[in-house]
Amino acid sequence: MSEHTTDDGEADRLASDDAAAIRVAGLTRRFETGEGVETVFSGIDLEIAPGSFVVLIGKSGSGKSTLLDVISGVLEPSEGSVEFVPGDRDAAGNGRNSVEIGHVFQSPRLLPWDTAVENIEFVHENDPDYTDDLAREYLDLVGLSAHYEKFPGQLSGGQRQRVGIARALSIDPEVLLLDEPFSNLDEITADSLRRELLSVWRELGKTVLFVTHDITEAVQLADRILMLGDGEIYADLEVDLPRPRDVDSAEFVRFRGRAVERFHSIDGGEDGR
Amino acid sequence: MSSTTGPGRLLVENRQVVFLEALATAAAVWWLASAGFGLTDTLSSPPLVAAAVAELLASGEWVPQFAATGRRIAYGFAISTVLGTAFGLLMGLYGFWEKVFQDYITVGLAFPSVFIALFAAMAFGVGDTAPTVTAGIAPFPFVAQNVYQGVNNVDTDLLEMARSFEVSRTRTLGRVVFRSVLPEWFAGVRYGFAGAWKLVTLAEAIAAEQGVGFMIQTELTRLSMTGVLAWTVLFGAVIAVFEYLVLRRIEERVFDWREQSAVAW
Amino acid sequence: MAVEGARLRGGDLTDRWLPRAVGLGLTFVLWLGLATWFERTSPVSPIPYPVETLTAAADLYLTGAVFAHLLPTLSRIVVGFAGAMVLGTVAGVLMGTTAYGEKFLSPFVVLGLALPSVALAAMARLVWGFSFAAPTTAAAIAVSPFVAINVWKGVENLDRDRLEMARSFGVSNRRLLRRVLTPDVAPALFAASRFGVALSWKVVTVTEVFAAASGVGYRVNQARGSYQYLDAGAWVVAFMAVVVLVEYGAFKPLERRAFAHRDDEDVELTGAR
Ligand SMILES: Nc1ncnc2c1ncn2[C@@H]1O[C@H](COP(=O)(O)OP(=O)(O)O)[C@@H](O)[C@H]1O
Ligand SMILES: [Mg+2]
Repeated sequence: MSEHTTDDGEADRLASDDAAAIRVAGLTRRFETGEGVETVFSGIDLEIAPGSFVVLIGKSGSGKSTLLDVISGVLEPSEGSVEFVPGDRDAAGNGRNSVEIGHVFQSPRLLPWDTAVENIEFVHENDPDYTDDLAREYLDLVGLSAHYEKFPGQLSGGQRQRVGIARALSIDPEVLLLDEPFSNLDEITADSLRRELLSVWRELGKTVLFVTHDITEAVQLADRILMLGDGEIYADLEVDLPRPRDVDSAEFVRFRGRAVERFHSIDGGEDGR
Repeated sequence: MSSTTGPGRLLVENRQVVFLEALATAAAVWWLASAGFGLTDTLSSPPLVAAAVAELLASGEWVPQFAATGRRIAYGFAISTVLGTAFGLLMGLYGFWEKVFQDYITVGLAFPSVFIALFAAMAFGVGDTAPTVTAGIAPFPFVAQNVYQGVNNVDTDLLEMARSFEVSRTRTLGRVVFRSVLPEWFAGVRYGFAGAWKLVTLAEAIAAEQGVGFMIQTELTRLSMTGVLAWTVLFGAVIAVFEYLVLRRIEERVFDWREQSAVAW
Repeated sequence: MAVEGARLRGGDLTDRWLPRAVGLGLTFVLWLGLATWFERTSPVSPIPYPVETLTAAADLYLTGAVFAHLLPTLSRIVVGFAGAMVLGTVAGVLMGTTAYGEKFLSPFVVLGLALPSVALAAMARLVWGFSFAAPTTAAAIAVSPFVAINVWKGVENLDRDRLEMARSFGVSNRRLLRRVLTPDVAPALFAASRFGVALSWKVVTVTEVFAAASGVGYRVNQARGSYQYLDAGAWVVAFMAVVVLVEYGAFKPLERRAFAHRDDEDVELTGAR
C-alpha cells in the first residue's frame, strides 16, 4: 500500500508558532502492588522539539502508556519532572499560562450517553468562545460531517476513534498525545486515519507524541522514533525518509529492517520472553 | 417480528399471542381444578373473580381504598428513594462509609420486612404512618446497594479522560458519574417501587382501617377467596398500567442513547 | 511528588474493624435513641431497649425456648426454598433454551414477581389452612420467579466462544460440564440461591403472621397482639442471629469463591433484587 498524500510544506510546519517543546528530566514512575514496588521506568531524560512527530515504541507492558500518562499529567511522576515550553503564541501573552494537551486514547473513551458534538463540547468547559459550530468544524476535519448527532453506540470503531481525535484537536492543543489510537482498528481504516493524522499535523502544526507497538506504523509516521524497554529509552532514531512515505519503497523497507533489528536488540516486555 | 408469517408461526412466535396463550392456559387450569373437583369455595374461579372485579369497579368501592394505598406508596417510595440514594452515594464515594454500611446492606437485604411492619404497627398504630414507614425503610437497602454499585462501576477510563482534558470535578460528577449511575439508580428505584407496593399492602393488612391490604385482610377473615383475588387482580392491573405507562416511558426517554432496552419482559 | 499508594496503612485494625465498630456503634445509638424517644412520648413504649432485648434473646437460646418456633420456621424455609430452586431452575432452563418457553413463561415470572406477599399469604391460608404447606408453598411460589430469572440469564449468557473452543479441542462432555459450564453458570445459580434464601426468610415470616400457629412470624405477631413488646423484640433478634450466621458463615465465604475468577464482580446479581 502506498501513500498518496502530497506534501511539500515541511519547513513551514516546523516553523509553526503553535507547538510546544517537551522537556522530560529524570522521570521515574513506580507502582505499589500487592507484591511490592514495581518500577516501570526510571531516570528518563528527553527533549522533544516543537512541531515534531515523535513515535514512542515498545513491547506490550514496557510502560508506554504509563510514560504518556505521566507526561499528560493523568499520573503523577514518582521522581523527575515534565516541562512544556510554550511556542510563540503563548509567549506573545494571549492569556494562557499553561500548555494545552490533547489526548487520544486506545479506546476512544467517549461518553456513551452524549452525541459526537456533545462529546466535544464536554472538554470545552472554560472556553467562552465555544459553540457547537466549532465541534462540527473539527468533526468535518476528521470526515464525520454526516454524524454530528450520533451517539458512540451508533458509530463504527473507526468513526468513534475519529471523534476522539476531533475532540483532542478541538481544544487547539500545542501537544497531541496519542496512545495506540489505531491498534483496535482494521488495517484499512487505520491506514486512512494515519494519513489523515499526518495531513492534520501538517496543517495545524502540533507537537505529536504517538505511542505504538507497530514498527511499520512508527516508521511511516515519525520524525523520530524512541524505543522504550527495560525501563529506559534504549534507542533514539532519526527518521530521515522523505514524506510522503511509500511503505513499499526500497529505502522504507531498508529503514524498517534496521529499526526492527534495533527494536529486538533487547529482551523484555511480554512478547520478548 | 417473524419474517415469514403464517398463522402457525404467529401462534408460537408472536409475544402478544403467546402471552394470551399463557393467560388462557392458567385460567383453564384454574377453572378446571375448581369446577372439576368441586372446589369453587376454596379456589374460586375465573368467572366469579371477574364478576367480583366488575362489581368493585361499578360500585366505586375501590376508589377510596386505592387512594389510601396510593398515597402511602408515594410517601414510602419517596422516603426509600431519598434514603437509598444518600446511603448509596455515601458508600460509593467514601471508602470509610462503604465499610461502615456494607454490613447494614447485607443484613438489611435479608431482614424480614414483616418485622418492620409489625414494629411500625406497634409504634404508630392504625393509620398512614405505619405503612409509609414500612415502605420507606424496608426497601432502602436495595436502592442503596444499586446506587453504590453504580458509583463503583463508573468507568475509570472516562474519569481519566476527563482529568486529562482538565474537566472540573463538578462537571465530571454531572456529566460522567451522574450519567453512569443513572441506569443502576433507576433499577434500584424500581425495586424501591415494587417494595413500596408490597410493603404498604402488607402493613395495611396488619395495621390499617383502609387500603387494598386492609381489604385483602378483611376478605381473608371472611374466608372469601373470590374477594381476595378480586382485590389482588385489580391491584395488579393498576400497578401494571403504572409500570408500563409511566415507568417505561421515563426509562425510554432517559436511556434513549442505548440502542435497545435489555429487559425483554 | 506523590507516590501513589504511599498512604499509611494501619493494617486490618483501622482498615476493616474500625468501620465495623463504627457501624455497630451507630446501630446501638440509633436503637437507644428510638427506644428513649418512644419511652418519653408514648404511654406504652413499643421499642424495647437494646441491652434488655439482647439479654432476652440470649435467654431464649439458653432456655431452649427458641426452638419451638425457630425450627418450624427454618424447616418451612428449607422446603420452600428447595421447591423454588427446582421450579425456578426448570423454568429458567426452558426460558434460556427455547424461544417459546421464554415467551410462555415470562408472564408467569412477571406475575410472580409482582404478587404482593399479603395476597400470597391470604391465598395460601385459604387453600391450605393453618398447615405446614401454607408458608412453604407461598415461599416456593414467591421465590421461584427470581431463581428462574437468574438461571435464564445464566443460560443465555453462557459464553458460546468458550463452548466452541472446548468443542474444537475435543473436550469430553463431562469435562465440559465441570470445567466450563459449571463455572459459567455458578455465579448465576449462586446469586439465585443467595437471593432466594433471603426472600424465603421474608415470605415465610409474612405467611406465618397470617397462616400459621407456630413459627417466628406467628410468635412476633402474637407478642404484638398481647403488647409484649420486649418479647417481640427478643424473637426478632433471635431470628436475626440465624440470618446473620447464614449470611456471614455460609454465603460470604462461598461468594468469594464463586466470584474469585471474575474481577468485574457482578455483585449486581448477588442480592440487589
Ligand atoms: N495502576 C497500576 N498499578 C500497578 N501497576 C501498573 C499500573 N499501571 C501499569 N502498571 C504496570 O506498569 C507496566 C507498564 O504498563 P503500561 O504502561 O500499560 O504498558 P504498555 O502501555 O507499554 O503496554 C506493566 O507491567 C503494568 O503492569
Ligand atoms: Mg498501553
